[in-house]
Amino acid sequence: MQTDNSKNIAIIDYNMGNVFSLMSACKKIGHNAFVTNEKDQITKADIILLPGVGAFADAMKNIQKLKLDELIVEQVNKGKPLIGICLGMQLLLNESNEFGKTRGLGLIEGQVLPLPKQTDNGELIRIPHLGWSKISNMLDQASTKIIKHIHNNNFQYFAHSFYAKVENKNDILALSSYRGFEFASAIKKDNIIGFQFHPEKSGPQGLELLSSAINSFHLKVPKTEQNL
Amino acid sequence: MTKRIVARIDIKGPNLVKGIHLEGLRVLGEPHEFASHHFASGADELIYMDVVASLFGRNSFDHIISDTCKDVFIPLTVGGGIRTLKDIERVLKFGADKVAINTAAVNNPGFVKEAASAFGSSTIVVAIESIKTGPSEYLAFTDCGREHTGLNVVEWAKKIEEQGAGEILLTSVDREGTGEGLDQELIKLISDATSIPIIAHGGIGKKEHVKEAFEINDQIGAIAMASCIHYEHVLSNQKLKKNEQEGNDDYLQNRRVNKKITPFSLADLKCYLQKNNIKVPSSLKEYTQYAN
Repeated sequence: MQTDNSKNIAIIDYNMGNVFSLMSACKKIGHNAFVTNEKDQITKADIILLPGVGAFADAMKNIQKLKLDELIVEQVNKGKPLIGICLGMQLLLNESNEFGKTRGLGLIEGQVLPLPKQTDNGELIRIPHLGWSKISNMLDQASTKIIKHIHNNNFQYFAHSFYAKVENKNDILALSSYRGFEFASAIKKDNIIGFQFHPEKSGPQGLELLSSAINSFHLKVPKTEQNL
Repeated sequence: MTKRIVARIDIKGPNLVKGIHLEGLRVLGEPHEFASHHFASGADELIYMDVVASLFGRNSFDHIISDTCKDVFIPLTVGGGIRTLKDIERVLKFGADKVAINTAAVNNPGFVKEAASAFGSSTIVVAIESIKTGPSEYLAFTDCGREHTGLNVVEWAKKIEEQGAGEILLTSVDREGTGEGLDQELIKLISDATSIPIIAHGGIGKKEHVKEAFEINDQIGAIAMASCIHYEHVLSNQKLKKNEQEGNDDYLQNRRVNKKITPFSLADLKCYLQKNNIKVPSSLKEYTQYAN
């Protein structure tokens, strides 16, 4: 299902993520997605998609080994849109406290912390948070425009033990809660969007959300001009 | 807490099969076709279990996984025959989100730890096949309840949590396929002993069982089911065929259902649960747009 609005999406391959499902999802919503860790391909893409499942430290190590950290930061600073998903969102922050401190990509101010194991009343919270939670829109104009489909019944699928503690409230796009603990489930800063949940595994409403996130970016060189 | 409804698809060769107590497997159809149907009906998650580890490492299983992940956009757990980190890497590469491990964990609990540190706890599900052996006494088995491990399920559940498992898929072999409802005593023993999520499985025969189970034990985050939803799909589709000439197709020929099972669709179940104030992800409006 390729359309005129079809974008070239580079899904970063650094051996830490379910890239196949992400690629299937991007294709389903009409984009041209490819899995790569090559500089040329990433530089040429309209959008960078950073997936990730597993440990923060391993992920950073793999990214550094492939020299992708500098490339991603450079591309983002030049204005290339980036979407980080799950661990891929957490990597955007300054650092993680998962098994000792590890530095992240530092694109968004904040740190990655473990989810609490008890509620305020001392009740058990089963970790990891595996399952579907509502995401609620932070009511600033920019975000309503991006996630135009968010409404009260929008559930997305989560699979995580850590969460992003974002420094600047303006960078938070949506909040979710698990057993009463509220955390940033979507973040946004300039040309960067991050999702803690897996839109590619959240059924039709996940695909809708991924689609509106992708379409929210104004590419520097519109597709039509590129083709002329 | 929002509950998950998990469609479990047992696979033997190219076919979806269903038995009783994990045995006497009858062919019901093609795994991918059922997965698509349950996705379209509102399943929150899927499990593909290669029940006789017949396919593991074979290309045909990889294709079943990847074909499914091309058009079914919910989490998929794959199990049956996973023994090495390479095996895990392989199924994840083809689109699975989580793996379920049983025998390999029993043989070497350290494998769970290795797997969790390599792929993250949230990717590693340990499947426990439980058989009641005495009053409040349950032992863990492997190979569809045939192989005795001597492990007490409560001790075993604690052990695998310690090793970093992210979730327990708890099957009551005694109830599996019977339609008699979940074994709440077993589930309570495990939920009291652990602090990781639990998928309760084995015994759902009607919608009421699901509601009651969530009401009785609020620690159950997910319930997996098979017979009731697969039979509903078969009964409402005369055209379903099995794949190739393999397996017992007695059921497909005669369409006789175990009397204790009242088939229902997941769409029906979710409406029913919502009406009864059990939180499930909203039943989904535009499924048909994406589901094939």
